[in-house]
Amino acid sequence: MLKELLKKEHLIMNMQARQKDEALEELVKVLKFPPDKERLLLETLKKRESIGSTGIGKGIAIPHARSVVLDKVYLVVGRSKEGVDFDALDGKPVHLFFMLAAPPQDPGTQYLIALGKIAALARKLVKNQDYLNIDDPDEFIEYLVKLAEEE
Amino acid sequence: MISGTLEILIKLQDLEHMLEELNSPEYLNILKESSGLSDEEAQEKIQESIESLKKEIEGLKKSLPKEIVRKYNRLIKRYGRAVVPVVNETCLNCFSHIPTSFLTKSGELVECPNCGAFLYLPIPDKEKKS
Repeated sequence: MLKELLKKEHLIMNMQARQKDEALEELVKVLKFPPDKERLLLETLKKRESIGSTGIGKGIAIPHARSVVLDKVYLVVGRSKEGVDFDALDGKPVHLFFMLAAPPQDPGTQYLIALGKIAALARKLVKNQDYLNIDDPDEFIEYLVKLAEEE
Repeated sequence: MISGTLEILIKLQDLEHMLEELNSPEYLNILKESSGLSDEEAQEKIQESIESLKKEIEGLKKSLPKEIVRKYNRLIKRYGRAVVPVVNETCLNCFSHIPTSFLTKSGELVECPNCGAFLYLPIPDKEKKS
């Protein structure tokens, strides 16, 4: 499932943002939505962060939301070698983002299943930090897919 | 350009979906799995978020005309949702056909002629980014 959602055009290998809001803006911009749609999704993601950070610790964050303005499930992956101050649970900078956004009519399954799979992938990713050393986008996606499919 | 009232309704609906998600048992498991928090810690964290979200929802409702809020509450109570997208000329609440004349009203506050849900109509191509 993550394989279908992971797309090269929705991958940022070197994020420029250093702060939380900037990072969300950078991730959302990748989707190239019309201005109103982009703004509303961004506000929903920011609101989600304001009620509890999705920075789960150990350098990973999973910003996520469902929004009326979306027509399908989107996953944007962003990497920051320098790290982003994201108010994570452990207070450490975030180096890898998985931004998951879905429409409300998604029957509560695809979105939550994807969220669960990303959470499981995150657990594997923190064991080593190889993701910081891959510079080729295709190789990066391949690495994530392989890790996600490992039992 | 989206009207102010429709924009607030969309934000409200997105918050309702957030609330629904936080209340789901799956979400508790996901939070525990990803963060390593104990069951108790994760539940406490979720509860804090729920309280904060409920305040946000009430705050947003205060910025809307009372009649709209009444209608919104009625729709939420009846269908669990009040603002729905239109996809392929179909209302995604009741799945009835939306007349073509409605489709040009993107950004306006429009209600489904069948179920009364507030409609989020597709944005015309000319407004889309290349």
